[in-house]
Amino acid sequence: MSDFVEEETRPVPVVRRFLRDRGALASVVVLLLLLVGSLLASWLVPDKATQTSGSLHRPPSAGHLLGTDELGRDLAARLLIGAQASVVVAFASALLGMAIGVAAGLVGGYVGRWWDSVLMRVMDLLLALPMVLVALVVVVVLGPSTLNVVIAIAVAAVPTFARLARAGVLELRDRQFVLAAKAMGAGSVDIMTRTVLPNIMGPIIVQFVVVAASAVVAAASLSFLGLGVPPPAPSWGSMLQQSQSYLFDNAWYGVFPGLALALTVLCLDRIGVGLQRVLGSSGAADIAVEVR
Amino acid sequence: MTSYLLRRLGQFVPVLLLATVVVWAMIYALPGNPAQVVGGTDATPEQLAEISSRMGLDQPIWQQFLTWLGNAVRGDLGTSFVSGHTVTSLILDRLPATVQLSVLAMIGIIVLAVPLGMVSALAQGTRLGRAVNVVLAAGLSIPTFWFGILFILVFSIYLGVLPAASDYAPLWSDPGAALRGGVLPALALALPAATVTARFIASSMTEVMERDFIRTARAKGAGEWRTVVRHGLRNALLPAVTMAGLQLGHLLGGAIVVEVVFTYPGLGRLLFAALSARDYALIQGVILFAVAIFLVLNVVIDLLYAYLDPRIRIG
Repeated sequence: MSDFVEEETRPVPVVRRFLRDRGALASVVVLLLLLVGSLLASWLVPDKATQTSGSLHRPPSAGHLLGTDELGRDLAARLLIGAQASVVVAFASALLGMAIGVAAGLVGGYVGRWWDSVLMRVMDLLLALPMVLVALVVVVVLGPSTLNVVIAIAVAAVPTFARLARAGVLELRDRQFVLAAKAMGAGSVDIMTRTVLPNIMGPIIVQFVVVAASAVVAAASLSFLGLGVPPPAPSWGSMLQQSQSYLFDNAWYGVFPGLALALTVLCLDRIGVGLQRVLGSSGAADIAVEVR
Repeated sequence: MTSYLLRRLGQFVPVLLLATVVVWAMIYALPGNPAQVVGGTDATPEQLAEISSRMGLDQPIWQQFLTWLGNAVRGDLGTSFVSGHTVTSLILDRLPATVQLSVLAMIGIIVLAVPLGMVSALAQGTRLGRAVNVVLAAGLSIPTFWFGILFILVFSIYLGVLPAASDYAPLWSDPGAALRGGVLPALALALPAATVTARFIASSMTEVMERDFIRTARAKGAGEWRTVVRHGLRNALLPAVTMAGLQLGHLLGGAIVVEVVFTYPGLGRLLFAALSARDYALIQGVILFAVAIFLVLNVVIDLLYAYLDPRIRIG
């Protein structure tokens, strides 16, 4: 029974309809290019991002496509390799936030009772606070490291997933196909994960992309405040932080990392909009905007 | 309205209590014991014992919490061990700057978001609508601090018209200086939030304009402007009130980054300085204060919403 439902909710046409949206398709291509470029850069020129040279604060040129920074390091290489930090943090934190949030929402919505009340009060608290502040608190407590940045942003992302999952469960809990699964002897866990979950995945997937986009910004903000991915690994946020001391000497330094950041968020946002169109999420949009 | 108020407060109080527990527990989750953190690594055992008893660390844990909470309620958030001032006085000192920044940013959000949202909704499919959507998508993708850096590049470095490091001056006593110092950070704060709000208004507006009462308004001969503004916008803005409230909360959060970019002397920079100096009492105090403000704002917004929309308080 539940296998049958799972098959039904993953039809091929969704992907095809998504790819027909030119903006979304272009966004996917740009992000893939960025990722491939980043991996190629760390494979082909692994030292270039950390190699210092005597030519400081050079404008873009043939030798250094985007110029150099205050230690004479190549900005193009740092920018490309910095993409990895953004992508890793964005996806890892969205994934972790989704796992915890969806589990909490499913249990809260399905089991109900005091579980639900306690979980939802915690979610209310998290949701009432801006992502950056929550992430800041977590990083202060745990100390700055890539893993802790992921945890920090995931914690901030949990409540929207929990709310979405809970709303979905409440809507489906008493539907006939759920009752049918129950009548056939499926346990609570089985019903939650194999009967209900596949049917509420649409909005959750949209939310995943939205969270990934805001995670890119949150991670950069943390790096900008000196609490992000620790140096010497390049990250866009810390590049921008450093650039601020040299804006008079090297304006490009303050422009390119931000451009990369904005482009990534823009692409993720377009993909989110495209997904929302094909997955037809009700209510996801309202909650989605709250994240920022 | 009273029953709604009570229900809403019934939700608010446990959440606020939970928040105080979390913020209080923060300092205990830190590696090392708090006395060591205050005393430094070269403190002698006697000094540590003295600090422990002064901080009440030798008391049972629930009593420590209650003492701390009682003090916090009475406005005593402890003393910053870096500056020696009380945390409350430091917060109150910086509060006006951040409030003024948030108000300026809020004005910016409303001025930008309402027209952009309306145009995006009403000009769908036209070149203008598409242009507005591009602007909104761009505004959404640019993080606050990059807006800040770009503004500094353009207005302070190339044009040289506004300062890169902003000072706070009270708006009522020195409006010129207040605007000179506040306009760039406020705009940097407002732009991302304005695009989010504009999108929200646009979707809300699109939905409202398809309703029957809009057709009725048109049918009875109301002009297009009147239909859009009196019948459409007024209804479309209702959900935007909630959105605006959330944005106001997030302004205070975004203020951390913006205040750092512009070296603006507000609460955000106070928190940043406290973080850099590991001044835990101050970190705890500022975060508790900010959290309390967010939660109160949320209640106020919900009540305002219930006041504006009777369906909420009855349903």
